[in-house]
Amino acid sequence: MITFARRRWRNGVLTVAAGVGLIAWHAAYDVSLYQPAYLTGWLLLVLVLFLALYNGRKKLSMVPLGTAAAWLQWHIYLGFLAVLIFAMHVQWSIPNGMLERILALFFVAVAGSGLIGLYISRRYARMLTRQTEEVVLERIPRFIAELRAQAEAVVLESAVDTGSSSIADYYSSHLADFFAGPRNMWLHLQGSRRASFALMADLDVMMRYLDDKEMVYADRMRHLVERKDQLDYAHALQSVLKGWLFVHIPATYGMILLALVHLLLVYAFGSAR
Amino acid sequence: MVEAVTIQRPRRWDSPFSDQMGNAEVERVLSLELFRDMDRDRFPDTLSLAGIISNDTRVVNFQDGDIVMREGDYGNSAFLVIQGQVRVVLPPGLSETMLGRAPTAKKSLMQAVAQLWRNPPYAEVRDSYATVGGQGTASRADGDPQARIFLQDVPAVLNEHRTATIGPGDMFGEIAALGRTQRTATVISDGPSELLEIRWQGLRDIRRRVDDFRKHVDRLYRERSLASHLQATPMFQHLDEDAISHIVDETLFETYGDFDWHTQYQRSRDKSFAQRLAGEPVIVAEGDYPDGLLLVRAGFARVSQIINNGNQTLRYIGRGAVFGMAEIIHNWRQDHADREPTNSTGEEHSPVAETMPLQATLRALGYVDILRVPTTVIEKYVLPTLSQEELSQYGLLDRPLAGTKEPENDRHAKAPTIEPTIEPGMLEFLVEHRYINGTATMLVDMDRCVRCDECVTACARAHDNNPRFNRHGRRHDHYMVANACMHCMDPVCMIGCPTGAIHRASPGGQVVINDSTCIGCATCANSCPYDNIRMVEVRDGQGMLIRDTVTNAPIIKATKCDLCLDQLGGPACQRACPHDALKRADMQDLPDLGKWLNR
Repeated sequence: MITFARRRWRNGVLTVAAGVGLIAWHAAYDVSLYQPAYLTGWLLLVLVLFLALYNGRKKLSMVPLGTAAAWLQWHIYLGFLAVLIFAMHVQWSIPNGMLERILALFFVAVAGSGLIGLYISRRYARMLTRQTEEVVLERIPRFIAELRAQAEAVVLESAVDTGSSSIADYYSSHLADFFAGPRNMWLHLQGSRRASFALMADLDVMMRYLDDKEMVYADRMRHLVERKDQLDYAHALQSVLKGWLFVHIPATYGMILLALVHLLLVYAFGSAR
Repeated sequence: MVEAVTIQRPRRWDSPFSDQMGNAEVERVLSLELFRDMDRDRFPDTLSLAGIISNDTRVVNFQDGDIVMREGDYGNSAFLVIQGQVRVVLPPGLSETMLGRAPTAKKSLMQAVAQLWRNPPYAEVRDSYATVGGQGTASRADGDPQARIFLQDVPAVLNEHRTATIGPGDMFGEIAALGRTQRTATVISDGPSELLEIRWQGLRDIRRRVDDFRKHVDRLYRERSLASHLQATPMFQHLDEDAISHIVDETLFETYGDFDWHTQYQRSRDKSFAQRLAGEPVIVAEGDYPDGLLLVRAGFARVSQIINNGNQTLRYIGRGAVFGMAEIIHNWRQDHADREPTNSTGEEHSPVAETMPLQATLRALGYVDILRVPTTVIEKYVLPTLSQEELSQYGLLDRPLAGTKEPENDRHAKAPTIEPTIEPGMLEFLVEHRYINGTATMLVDMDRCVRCDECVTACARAHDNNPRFNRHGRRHDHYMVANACMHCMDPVCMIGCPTGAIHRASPGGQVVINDSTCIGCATCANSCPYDNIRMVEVRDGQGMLIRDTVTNAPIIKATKCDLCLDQLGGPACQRACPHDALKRADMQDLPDLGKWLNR
């Protein structure tokens, strides 16, 4: 079984070698007075179509078409090559036509979201492992609602039991919004715990002015805040882990559509041969 | 004040094997030769011999051609012939179709793709429960509570296959019943026969208390299976029949732990590590003299070494593994060296070294059957026939795992060692939770898992939109063992299935459930120590619950992972994971597991 480091090294070397070969071929084509844009254009289109097939492979999990992991490896490294071919195709500059510029923007969106997706797939998966318990993204809103109900029960109980509104007041001024839904997404994505520290610090301040009876309820509330913060963390990371595909895949379809229009126009009005 | 609900504590014989065993029948059985001379005083009042016969046995009648037991099935009982005779089909045995086991049909490419749109929109939809018969067999109920499968053309079968006859007073099926292993042969009734079926609990209790009975069972095993078991062990493979026969005569049988270990394991889950370890019977202890080579016949054992005030697990061993060979080889070599005053170069040997005791402790994990071949027998018949390479290979000592202090012992430093590839914590985790039992344990590397649930989606697509596992489970470090059927080496879920619906598929040995014959009793789900079997309410094509015609209660079925037996390309979950995060691991293949964990 090949290690990840070895596989990365092998695939990286092969991709660089293929890239160097492509550059050399492109240069040779150029000096032979052919129009290399046609070569790179067709190559790019075929490559993009192949890369797009990966999504189809995921849907056809019941057919023995090779493992999804092997497809992803091809997807990643051929994706790098596609970026190189794209750069050669546009001659390392910004295209001049409107359609071409939009098409280029779509390509940048697809390639950029792919790179970001690759990065967060590797980084956020590890960050999520820090959590002690696994939570399914779709169930998080339900868990948050349960926590909110528990927090509100603590508030009511404390008011009845202690005859004081300290915790209730604190809840409505500081925590009601926090428990209303997923919060602090950007801070969690950056790996920052500033928001939860701030909440805990506020709770600590409030707890200084409570008696022993109220302290019991404050401790329960504190525990609920910690659990809610963990859910927010899981929600933020898992949302992005799934969400980036909502940019990558539609942009891919848009790009393919525009590329076909571009191809049609080139052959209709260009000096192609 | 609300009064506590009280129930009578459940007792062992609340559910007797049969309700047909009246006093007269029990007395008739007790008068059989096997039981007649048994000393009944050896049995306590609460577990009398008559009680065992009454509750743990039943008299069953077979007609000509009835299949009493099938090769490859997992049986929970042994049989004693009372009247008539039965035929044991000798190797190569009957074909799978003759035995009524049609091979699992794989879906065609079109059928596989059609799952995209043909899968029902509701959960757990069942089309029908039509029974499909196999070639060469049919089933017979005859009003008998025990439905029979019988061969349709017995003379043809007897003509084409070699058979051995077992007559009145003979017993068979005890090996699979006591060792929870597969039936090694098919037995068919030759004419009408009357048999006494003894379930394993009764067999075990009689065996414990009656020496003659234990010797009788051991003798049967010695006569029927021990030689072939030894010959399947690499270090005995090259021995001639004479040597094997001597070893067979000298081999001792030992049993450790509880046969129904899963109930004890479930109860002890919340105890501390030290308490659970203390509950594991010690087979041999570190520092003991190696008086025999231990062969694991069935079950699992933990190999551990004392580290500070605790025990560190070095590895686990299962069926077919040996323990203690390295120490025996070392001592034998030492003994030989001591007898020769000088070596070939004329130099004198160093002073006599001490006998090497066992370097590790062996504990039973659940239930273990051990064969102990005395050291003197190994020294006489095995060691002289092994090459230097084989002696070096079998002489590898267990050593502490990486990250722990090694004892200052020259022998450890000089001897070749087994290089561990699984970090100690992971090994302890796998053993603690008995995940070592799995042949297709679902491991998920959470550092690579992006929680995309492609595995769950693929599983659902392959099973009529019903995922057959939960991407959830215990974790160690960044590895999770998901709640998916592990297709255990020792599938305790099969114990007690009243209809045999949960069974091993051939030829892969995957544990599968026959949905048509599952009665939804949940015995398997309750027995599974890993909570990997789910009971579900089934629906018709319109999404309506299917109900019992009498009670109107919903029909319940047991469901679990079937390792995508009918799918092209194997387990969909593993193939669908884009990030190489998921593996169905055979926990007996430690090198492969180690490589995967250390990617």
